[in-house]
Amino acid sequence: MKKVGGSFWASSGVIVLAVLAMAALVPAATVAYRISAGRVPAMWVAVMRSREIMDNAGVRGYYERLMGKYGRMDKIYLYDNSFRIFRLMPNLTWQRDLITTNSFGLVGPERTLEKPPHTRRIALIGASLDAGQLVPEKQIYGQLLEDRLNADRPNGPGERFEVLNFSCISYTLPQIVDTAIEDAPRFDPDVYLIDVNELAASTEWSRHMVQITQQHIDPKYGFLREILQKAGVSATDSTDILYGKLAPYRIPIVQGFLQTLEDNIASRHASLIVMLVPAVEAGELSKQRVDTVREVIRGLHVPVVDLLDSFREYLYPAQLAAYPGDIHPNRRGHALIFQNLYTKLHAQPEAWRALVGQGPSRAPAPPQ
Amino acid sequence: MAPLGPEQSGGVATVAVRGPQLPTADRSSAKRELQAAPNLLKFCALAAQLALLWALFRLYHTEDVAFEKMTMIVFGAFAVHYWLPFRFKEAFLAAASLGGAFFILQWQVAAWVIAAGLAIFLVLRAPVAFRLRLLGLFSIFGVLMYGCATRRLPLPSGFYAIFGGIFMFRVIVYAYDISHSREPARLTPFLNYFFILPNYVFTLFPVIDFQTMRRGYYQREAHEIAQQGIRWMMRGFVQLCLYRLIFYFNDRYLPDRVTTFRALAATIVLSYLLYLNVSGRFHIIVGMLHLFGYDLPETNRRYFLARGLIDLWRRINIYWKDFMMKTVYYPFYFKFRKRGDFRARLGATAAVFVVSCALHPYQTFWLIGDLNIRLTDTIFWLILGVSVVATVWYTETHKPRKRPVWQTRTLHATQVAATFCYMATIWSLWSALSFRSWFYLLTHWVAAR
Repeated sequence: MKKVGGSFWASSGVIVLAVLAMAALVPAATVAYRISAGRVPAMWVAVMRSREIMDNAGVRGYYERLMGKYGRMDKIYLYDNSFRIFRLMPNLTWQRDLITTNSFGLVGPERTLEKPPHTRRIALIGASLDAGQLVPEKQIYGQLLEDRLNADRPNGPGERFEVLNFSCISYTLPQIVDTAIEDAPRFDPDVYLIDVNELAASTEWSRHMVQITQQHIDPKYGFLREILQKAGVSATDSTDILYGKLAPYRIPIVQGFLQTLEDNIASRHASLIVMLVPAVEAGELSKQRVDTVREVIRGLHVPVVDLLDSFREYLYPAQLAAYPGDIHPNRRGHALIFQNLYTKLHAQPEAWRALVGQGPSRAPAPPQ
Repeated sequence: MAPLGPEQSGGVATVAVRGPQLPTADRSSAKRELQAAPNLLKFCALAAQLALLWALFRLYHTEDVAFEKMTMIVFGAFAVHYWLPFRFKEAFLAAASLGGAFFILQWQVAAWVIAAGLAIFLVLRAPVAFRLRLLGLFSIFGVLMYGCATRRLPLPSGFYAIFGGIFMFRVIVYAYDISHSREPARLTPFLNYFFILPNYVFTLFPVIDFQTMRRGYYQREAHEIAQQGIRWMMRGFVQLCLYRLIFYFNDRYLPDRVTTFRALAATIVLSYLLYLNVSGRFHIIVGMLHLFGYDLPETNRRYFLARGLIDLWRRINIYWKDFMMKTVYYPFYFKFRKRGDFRARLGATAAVFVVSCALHPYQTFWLIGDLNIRLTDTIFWLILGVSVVATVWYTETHKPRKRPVWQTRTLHATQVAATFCYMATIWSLWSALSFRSWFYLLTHWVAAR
């Protein structure tokens, strides 16, 4: 066999130096991150250190499929033949991921169907980031928002706020929009806070369309039916073929759903605020992904609150993850999202008005 | 410090080396024992490097919790294994690997995988005709493949990927070697060949050759082998870091975002570079085996610099190439060479790609339970196979002429660039979800202009 490399001691020395050099990159990147010219290379080091990038849906080569992580969470869902396919079970206490739902299947405490008097209701709708997967119920940013609004009472002492969390783990944009159109109105919300996160934009964007096609579920929305027809999807197609057929229609579908959402909420005389909530990822992965639908979001006539910079201070955001390698924020991560949200709501008068209504108050001081 | 001589080593070795009438196996064993002689200073150097490497793996979150556990067990086992008398080394490693399975995997999965492995061993060890043993082996695989496809067997869900990762290919190599060996299967080599600690974490595993593994056992001085293993682990680590960066850059190129030729070129190249993930893992796996005296060859060697498709085939996954040579190419070639040497070689080469094409869905089936055979996979292997056969034919029929040095160098550089571009392009087909989406990726930038 061909002998590779030099002597034992020389090789040992090279290895020690290489290890030390790689280790030194970590603090060096922390310093470089504070300088504008060093920001991008520092982020590359952070990406090299990021475990979560391996498990988060992204590139789909042959080997990526083989090494992907596949999990099932059947026990927390109710399945039906509806457009949404699944929803969180009511009265759920899922210890493993710290998800609890009320009798309506909404994340968080019990609520009444009828809006209590002198209450402004906010419907928060998104996916696992917004449902607070792996975070205690009271630490979810939606709950923090409710607590803060009730402490500040921007509409005077007589009016309370309720944040009803309709978010569901694994929901993509079509399911989020459908929840906003079908479920939320029963609770008569005044404001809809909708999270358009990276699931709406990254490789997984069409997962739901693939599933409804495979399960012979009616596309429900006219524009979607037309696009699926145009794409030539069929229930007999394999999953990969379906993803492939839908690939060219990402923007029209995202656009269609956001437009439908905007129109529907406007017809109810409620307010809509679109939020862009980040996952805990190194570099600017969340931003990079959401940026691919930024143009579509800009085309809406509603306030957009960009929270993608919530973790900007953290070059290595892993410390904000629920556990190493996960993309869901922990308590600290949710607190940062909330602070950023509250600050930006204040900074955008249109968004603030949409949130609290046309009440008498001025915006209170942003959170510290 | 020089390796210990016969006088300084254990009694068995001393006698073995001095006894000129001893059989070859014993002489070989004594030589290996000498190569495995410990040395405190060098051990400290190896242990220090492993400690640093372990810290680096943690610092960079190289893999998940299971990987961290596995690394600790491997490095800890190395520290014990190193000092054990030679005759106990393999048995200890087998025990550590079997015990480690219960720490790394769910205990039910570990128990079932070990039970299935022992059943395979007993079948292959049975004192009956080889055909009957093979029939027994097929029966076990048939039942488990049915379970993997239908999930109707009462086995834990994580079992199939681990079982497949361990046995799906290596059992072919092992059965082949047993069929050509005069000696019956022995338990310790069997356990050390199949139950390899990194295999519990990395189900996509290099197809290590059984004979090469046995032959390489302490064939060189132990410290040199271990040092080479550490170097490969370090190389694998760097490749995995680069992989994440490439993954990050490539993530932005969703097919509908590839609106310029530059973006198309970038995503095609980046998709090919993602192979660093496989290469990095393989380096770490084989590096770890080196710590226990298995002087295995490199798994991948500068494959992005291959100067032709045959060269690439020899470099990109060396263990797969060897596996195919052993179980497909040579049997085919020797069977058909009477009909003409050249035709037999072309036929054997084509057979290698047909079998490779068939074994990849088989691999997908075991590792993720997916039964679908994708058209893009078939077309990729077809294109690659036809290209390699054509290259073999061309090389055979066109003898290279002598050229000036500058021409040779220029040609070499051109060949490297051309091979890279060609492979990256057909790799993008392999990575595509469907032929249609690949076509869309390639042409969308023209429509978007």
